Amino acid sequence: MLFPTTVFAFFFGLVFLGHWALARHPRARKVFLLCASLFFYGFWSWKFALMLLGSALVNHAVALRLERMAEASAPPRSRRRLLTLIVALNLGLLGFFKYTGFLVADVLFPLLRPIGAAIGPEAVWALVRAQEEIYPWISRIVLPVGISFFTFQALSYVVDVYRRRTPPAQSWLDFANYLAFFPQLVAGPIVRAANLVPQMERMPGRTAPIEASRAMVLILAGLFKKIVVANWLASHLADPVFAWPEMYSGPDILLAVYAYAVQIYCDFSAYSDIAIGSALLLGFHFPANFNAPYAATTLQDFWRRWHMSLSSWLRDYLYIPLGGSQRGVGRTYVNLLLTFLLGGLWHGAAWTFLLWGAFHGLYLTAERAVRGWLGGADSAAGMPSKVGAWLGRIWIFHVVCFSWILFRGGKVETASAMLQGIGAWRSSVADITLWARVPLIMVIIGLATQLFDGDRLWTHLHRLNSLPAWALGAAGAAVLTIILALGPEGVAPFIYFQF
Amino acid sequence: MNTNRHNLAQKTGPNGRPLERRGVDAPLPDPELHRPTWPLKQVWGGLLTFYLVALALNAASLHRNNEHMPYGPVRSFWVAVSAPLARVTTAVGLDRPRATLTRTIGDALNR
Repeated sequence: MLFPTTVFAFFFGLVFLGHWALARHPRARKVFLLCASLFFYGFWSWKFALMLLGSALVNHAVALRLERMAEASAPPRSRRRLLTLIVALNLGLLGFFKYTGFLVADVLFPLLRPIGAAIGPEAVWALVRAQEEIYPWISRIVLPVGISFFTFQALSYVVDVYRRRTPPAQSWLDFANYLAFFPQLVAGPIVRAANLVPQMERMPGRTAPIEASRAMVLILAGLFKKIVVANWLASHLADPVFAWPEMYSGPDILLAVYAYAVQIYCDFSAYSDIAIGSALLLGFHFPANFNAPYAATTLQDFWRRWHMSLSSWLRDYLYIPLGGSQRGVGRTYVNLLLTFLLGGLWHGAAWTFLLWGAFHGLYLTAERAVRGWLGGADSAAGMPSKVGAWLGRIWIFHVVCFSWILFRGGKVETASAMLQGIGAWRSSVADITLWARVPLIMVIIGLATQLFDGDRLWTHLHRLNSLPAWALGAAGAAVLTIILALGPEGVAPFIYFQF
Repeated sequence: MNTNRHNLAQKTGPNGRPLERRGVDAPLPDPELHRPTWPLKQVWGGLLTFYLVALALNAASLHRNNEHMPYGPVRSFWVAVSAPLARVTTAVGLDRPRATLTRTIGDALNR
């Protein structure tokens, strides 16, 4: 079920009614919410909805066991063994669905081919037969939508219980509601157990005040970003140029890269906005996931503003356990690189995602080294001037755009053709065709939507709140009609669904 | 969670007072801050109005989309639901705002 569809609008209306009508019956309400979340996920595949339920059962059972072992002062080694087992189980499940095809088709067979050729024709034939048998089996593996997100949430839960930073959920139902809660189930934000489990245990009461105006602004902003901006940029600029880069001139390819940078921001932040807004209307609070990322002045700053729930997850559950910056300069650089390599691989099973992660890791390492030589730019004295800050923003925007070529390319050949096309500046195939008024306006509007992030609309929200409920509802419906009229027929799935 | 907030908070102007953070440097929502909220009853009213007005303004378009669904019981159900709504809203002229917007901007934009 996609957010910007009529089906979701009906579904959400019914969930809103049921959720608040059952406010005096907490247990029934929790069961209702879980059923709604499973229906939302099962709308795509019931088999995977059951898998999600199974994941909730197993992870909660292990969390309870870890807690009991700690209370009984069990030896740390046995607790660690149990944690290792559940982490391996979660990662194994993720790895099977997400990386089997990549490991077999892009790593194993390319390694075996030259070995087979060296051994002789018999080995080559054996390899060909093995490929013919394995490839159809691999092609039948379907990636469950949102598996990367709910696996990371489950991991954070068991690790936090193991570290005794958060207690286990009061009941399996509360944990299942945390893991499967439909607004953030398929594309985040990755909400920590410490944040959402207590909300699921308590459940918002009928007297709880609701941030309705903020919810409405977030949902409508998300719909505008996705339906009008991201869809347009994808279909008119990014998709055609990334599909046939050799057909376009250098400036056109450059514009398509800018368009993709804006498209992926509008697409992904739209999902987060709608998720946060929908949760607010049901009385739940999620942390922010974006904070005007293209206003970052350094790449480190970018990662503090882009997909913040993932970057903080990688920091807390990967970078810091690896030693963070506490084990010397060299080890810090290795940790950074490893974290971003795995962060890249999290996004997808392809060499381009690994290269994307490696690029970010290496750049951050270089940035850190330069900052170290300059004596630390985090201090007040190191704050850049206004001009310096803007130059930094423009530079980092281009650094990130370069990395998006790897991210979007899908294949190394496509990324290479895009880069060669920009370098050639003017292709013999086509003239400059895309630099026109409308594409530029759409890119600028997309960049400007970053103003919806954070609390930049604070004063306007106060003003909206003073309107009568019917007026705000009617105004929201009018804005929705404008958005639908400006958008194309049908909506493409969100980019982050594939991760 | 967001360490950027702390970095920004450390930055001070020449007079030693914290710099005002505006535009792209504005801080993230702080859960401790008082936010504008509504009681549940008001939210119910607002959401109901939102659904009714949105349905009235988009019923004709919704009906057209339903007609494009693959043939079967699901299509028959939704077409049967949306057809009378679309007839009423078209008769009253409520379909005009969206139709006009689509004709004047939407079609040109998505050509």
